[in-house]
Amino acid sequence: MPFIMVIYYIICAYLLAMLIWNFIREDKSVDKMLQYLLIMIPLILRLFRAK
Amino acid sequence: MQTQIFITFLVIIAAYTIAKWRKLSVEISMFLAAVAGGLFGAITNTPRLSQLARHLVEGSFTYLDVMLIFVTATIFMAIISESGGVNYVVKNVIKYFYNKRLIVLLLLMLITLVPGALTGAGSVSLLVVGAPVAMALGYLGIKRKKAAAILFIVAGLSAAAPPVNIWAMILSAGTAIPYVGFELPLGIPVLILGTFTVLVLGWKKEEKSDLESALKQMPDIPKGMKWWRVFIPFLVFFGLVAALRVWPFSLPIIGLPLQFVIAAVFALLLSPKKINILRLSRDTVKKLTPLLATMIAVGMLQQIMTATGVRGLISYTVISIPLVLLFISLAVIIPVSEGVFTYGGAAIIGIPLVWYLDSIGLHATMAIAGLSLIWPLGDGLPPTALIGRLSVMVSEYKKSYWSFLKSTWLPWVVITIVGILMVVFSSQLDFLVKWSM
Repeated sequence: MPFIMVIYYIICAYLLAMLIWNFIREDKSVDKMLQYLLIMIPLILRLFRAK
Repeated sequence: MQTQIFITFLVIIAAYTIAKWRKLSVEISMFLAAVAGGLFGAITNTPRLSQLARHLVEGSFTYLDVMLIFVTATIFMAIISESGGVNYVVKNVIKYFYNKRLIVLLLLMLITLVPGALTGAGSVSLLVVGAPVAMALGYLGIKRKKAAAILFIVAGLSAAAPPVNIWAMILSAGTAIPYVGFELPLGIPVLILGTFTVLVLGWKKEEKSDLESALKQMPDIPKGMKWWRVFIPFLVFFGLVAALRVWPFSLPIIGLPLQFVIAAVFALLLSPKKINILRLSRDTVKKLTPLLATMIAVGMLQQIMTATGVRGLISYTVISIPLVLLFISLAVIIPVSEGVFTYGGAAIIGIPLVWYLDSIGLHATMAIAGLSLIWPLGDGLPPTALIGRLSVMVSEYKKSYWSFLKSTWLPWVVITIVGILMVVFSSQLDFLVKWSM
């Protein structure tokens, strides 16, 4: 896998980690939690290289 | 068939309306509208029920690259802001150019333009530099209502400015037009219209102010902050952008997100105070969540509208409108679509529109540039009014939202006319695209 692609996977993983962190801390708005989950979909699939 | 597609379209609109009526956010409302449209379409196997989840997931990937640009660029700007760089620049602009009104207004406009131009989001401009710039405008004797109006228009223009223009990116991705050649078609009108806005709304000194009290009230600058600490990260970023243009076959293509990451590393290393990057990233992602969720929901809605045939129906409707009427109606259709769907408006109405304009011989890149000048105006319109609400918030204007919006009428009208003229005369203006490449 090219080095640049590896970095992009790391960027995706970092963003996913921040989203999970915010998701866990969010205890008021269900709407906001749904938004976090929505954003996580492509990131998780990208990291697992699922098509 | 056409009736069934029309009913699917109505189902999408109804689902969105009900979700908004139930006080759900625009992003979740768009997602539910996509699911409802997909489920209704499945009745006639367009798409098949077994394929619905695939379509939704596939749609969520449409703007993944744009999302990564959003996040990395905003983290970069947040580091600059957290290190005291933004306050340093604004304070020095006031200190050295307080009595040169034209220069100070132009510099404040440029400061507001940069974060939005780099990230593609006017809201980022307001979140990063909005408060200090609003404060500086106040010290120049500009009333809060007018300061909010300046911020709204300039932040909107910053989102349209190159190198990152999300509307143009969505339209380019959706119409298979490469996202190249937008620098001059977007950069020149943005600078001219931004200058016009700050001069029209900010030239007159309406309240008393003096330099000394202004400087005293501005936030303190961290010890050790120097101009080169702010300048070098931007130099690195623009250097990387330029280097890839100058030596396209010698350097690897690293993409905008990675360029922002490299610039952010420099900003972090050059910061005079220690920055907790994890906390800053977490907070930045939290602030960006509505925008990121919008990108996902727009991608899904776009995919479902394609699979059900609704996108084709809209395209058909667009090409059926008489041309002159279409050009005139852009003044209303474009901002309203932004106010309702945010970036989704570009995907739903913009893509068929650009196909049509291209098919009648207009220059697609110039037409996209013209349209993407008008879209940010919709960010002041309800139900979303994202940039409008933020402008009012950072400038601490407490009176009626509509009175603020009314004060933007002159730049609003001028921007709309310029945008429409750029579409109408896109073929004659195509030299701007050529010069950008």
